Amino acid sequence: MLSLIIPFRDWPAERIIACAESFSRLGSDVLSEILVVDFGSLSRAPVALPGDRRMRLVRLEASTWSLSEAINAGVLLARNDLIAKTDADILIDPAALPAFAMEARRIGLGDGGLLLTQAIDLPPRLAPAAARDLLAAGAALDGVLRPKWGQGGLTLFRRADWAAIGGFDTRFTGWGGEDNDFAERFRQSGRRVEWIPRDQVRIYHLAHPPTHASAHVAGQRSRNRAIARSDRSVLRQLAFRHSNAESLVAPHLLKRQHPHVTIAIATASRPGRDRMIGEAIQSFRGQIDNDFEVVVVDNGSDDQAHLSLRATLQAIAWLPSLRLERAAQASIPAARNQITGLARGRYICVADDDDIALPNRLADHLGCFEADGAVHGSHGGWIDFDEDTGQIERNAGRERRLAVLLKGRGKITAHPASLYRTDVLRALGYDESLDLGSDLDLAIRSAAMGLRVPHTGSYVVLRRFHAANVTITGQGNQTLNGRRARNRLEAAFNPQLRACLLELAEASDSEQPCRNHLSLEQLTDMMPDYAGEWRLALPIDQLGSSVEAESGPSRLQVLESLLALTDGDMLTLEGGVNQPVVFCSQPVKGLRAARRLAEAMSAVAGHRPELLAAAQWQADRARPFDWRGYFGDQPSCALRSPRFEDLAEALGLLTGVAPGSLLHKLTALVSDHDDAGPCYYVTTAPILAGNEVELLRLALLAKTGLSFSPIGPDGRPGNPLPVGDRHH
Amino acid sequence: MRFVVTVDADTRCTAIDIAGNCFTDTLPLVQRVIFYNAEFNDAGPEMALAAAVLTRRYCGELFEMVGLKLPIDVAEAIRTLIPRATGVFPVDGTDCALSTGEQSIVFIEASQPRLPVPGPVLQIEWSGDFVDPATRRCGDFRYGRYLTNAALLADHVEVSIAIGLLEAGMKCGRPHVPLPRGVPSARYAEIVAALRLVAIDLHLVATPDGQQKEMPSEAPTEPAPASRARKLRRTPGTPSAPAVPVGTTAAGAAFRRALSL
Repeated sequence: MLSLIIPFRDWPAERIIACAESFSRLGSDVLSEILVVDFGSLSRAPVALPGDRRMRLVRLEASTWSLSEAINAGVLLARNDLIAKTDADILIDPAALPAFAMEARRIGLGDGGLLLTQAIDLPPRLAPAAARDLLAAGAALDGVLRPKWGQGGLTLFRRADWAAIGGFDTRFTGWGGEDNDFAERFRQSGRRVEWIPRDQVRIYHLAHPPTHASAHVAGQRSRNRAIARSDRSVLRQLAFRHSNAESLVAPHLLKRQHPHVTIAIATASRPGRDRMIGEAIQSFRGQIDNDFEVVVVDNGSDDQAHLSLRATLQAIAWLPSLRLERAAQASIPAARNQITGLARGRYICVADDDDIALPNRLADHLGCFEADGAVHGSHGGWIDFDEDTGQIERNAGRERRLAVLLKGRGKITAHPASLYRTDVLRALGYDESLDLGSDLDLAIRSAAMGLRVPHTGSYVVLRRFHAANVTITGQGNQTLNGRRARNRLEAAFNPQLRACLLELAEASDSEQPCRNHLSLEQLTDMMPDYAGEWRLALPIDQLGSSVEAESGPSRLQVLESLLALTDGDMLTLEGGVNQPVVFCSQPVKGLRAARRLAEAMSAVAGHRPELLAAAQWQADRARPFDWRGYFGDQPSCALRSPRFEDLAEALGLLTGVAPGSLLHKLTALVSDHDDAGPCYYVTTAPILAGNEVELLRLALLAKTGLSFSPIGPDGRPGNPLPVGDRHH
Repeated sequence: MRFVVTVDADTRCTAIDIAGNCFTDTLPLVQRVIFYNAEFNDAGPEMALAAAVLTRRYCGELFEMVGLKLPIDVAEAIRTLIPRATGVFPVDGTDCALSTGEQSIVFIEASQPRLPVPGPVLQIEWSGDFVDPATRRCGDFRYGRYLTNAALLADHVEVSIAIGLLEAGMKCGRPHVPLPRGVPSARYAEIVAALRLVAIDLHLVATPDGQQKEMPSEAPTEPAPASRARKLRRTPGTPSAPAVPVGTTAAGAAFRRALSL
């Protein structure tokens, strides 16, 4: 059975009625419903439709005319799965009705995709009622056959196909372009577009004054053209942008349609799972208008853990669609295959239960499809963060070419930073014989099959490292399975191809650039409040004034106030010469506590302190100073003070050397790191050896009371070169 | 649809690129069919037939083979295969390319290799007996491993037929392809009719499950019997072929770029 949709806005009733009547001659066994959709006409007077019980008028309140949205609303409201759509200025030749009915049956049986009909433009002198009467009397009307560029006069399609590609794009306003865009996406999605032979089904377009003459309509059409030109994607969101969809279409109808994206989460029971999965799902909130569903498959959990997970997910109220299923066996690839089977979305966004999606994630993934409709997926960079220490590591990822995946080095791609077309994942499937590493195998096979998965050009996810992380607990298996996945494909290739892949991998194995290089401050805004261990650092030279001033506290007073807030120390953040000295707090557990302390320190110092991951600082600081670089190529030596663990002592020594003097200019503070930990030295500049070294050493002894020792370019104690050698 | 065929002698791969050239085309999931380990003849009319077999569900009103003049009977076969394709070109109206029919060929899916690559779409390996019609004996036993993504466009029977055509060329007389249980042969009636126009007699053999002939999928580790070893002919897909230096021709580089290797 067929539903016919006639959308309009501010259109003469005479034309609408003529159109509906001409189609109503189709028998009820073929056409069971004629849905006339009034998309917010300014005149609120309802169109007086003839007394045919199949005819139904529905009105949407809408501020802007969008033919796309009117059709979509009609499809949602239609009672049948087979849909015909016609414009409110089209009449069908009664003689063509049997052929039209046959075509409708064919489409209903699944034999065909989108059927289009060429319209014949009637002359302006022919009034709608007169044209209708003439046709009813069996007269053949003369007119001008339209070329095939207009694809919206009368179309036939199935609701399932319409939903699979996201319906008509409601970014198109007014009319024009939306029909061609729909047809083009239809055929690019692997569905067939056919024209009904014009000698079989004749439709007539009633003449009317041109509606595209006004500047407003011309502007709309120009914008529509720009959308059609710039967006290459095939699968789109079914969005209601211009009307209050809930008042008419009803949310339960919308819910039955495809969500744009399925967030796929395979999860297994482990400590903290409920907390982490809640945060993982929360991180998608607000992305692409929440037009996604979440499918969680719990694999291998016991009853108690499963019930606990169910309770956690039930507490997430904002999500339109969330499904929890239980896998029979504890297997990550099996759970992922189960999700792929369950997914209703047009795309599947892979997410881990402990990761946090960046706000740009879904938009950036889908942007790749807008740029090129023929791609099959997209992947992005990922930023690892350690839940306990707050340490971060940025991984931009590499191009997913077969050569790079098989022979490349480093971190190429992360499965939880990937998004695929659902049909692609269904065709590929995860290999269930690989418990860990099935994701890499999937990437390799997809590349071997010529599927294109470009990089988003951005970081898309924060990956959490924690004690129960699968990457950590199953590292051995993962590596082994990764090697297995590579080997079995390589074994199928001939030696020449293998050699070629090696060459290509070396030529193209470079990191992808990411445009969103997020600062630590921005990243911590997205991390959970309890994460990390942090230090807060304030540069000393920004604290108060170094001398007693009439207004404002002195540096010493500020330091004392800071010390009252937190145990801290003066130190440098990195090794090197004359590194900036900072006041650094003791490590603080959790971001919430760190932020509170930062507020307090900011109030005292007048500057916001810099947030540092404690472990990251230790790692950065643990790099020994490069003495060789300090000396350069010259054969020289330097005089170095004894080792200081406390920076304050080293600074005290430095101030002991008269400021402004030549001796002061020759000395520098070096932050170093040796086996015993961070340390500081006061050091002279490299000097060409000779008698001057001894003179300088005596001068420093006199000023500081400490004996400076000569060191060589390797940073170890050494004797100055004899004068004779210099001359030689 | 518009087809561009590229063969890379260095990597021994063949690719058929597919592009829509009219609005009646429907685009498949992948627009490049890749045959790894297969250096097929890109100048023979069998390439056009194979492309038509693989894309008959997608091709619209125009069938265009770039860089190849199609003999008139091959063009007619393509029109039979794809009734929508009213325009087939470029055609050389003075040329005919009937099969010489020297070889009967059985193409069946090979047994699983030692390291099977999973997934229904990539794991397609083939071997075949080329039967000499005069002696009714295997005159030319071939085997090889063709990795292809063609099953993303067509079903296994169609991929079998296409590879059979590509492998044997216009010498192919009687290709025998097993039909999976429950699949009606009428589904392939158009292919049978089309190939008959070029004197290729396609036999779709209903094979009961589990009775497929076992074929070696890799180079045998044990020496073959002397009588057979003489007849053994290595196909391009045989992995034990000697390595040759990778060339750096511009065409080869472009091909590999296009293949996204």
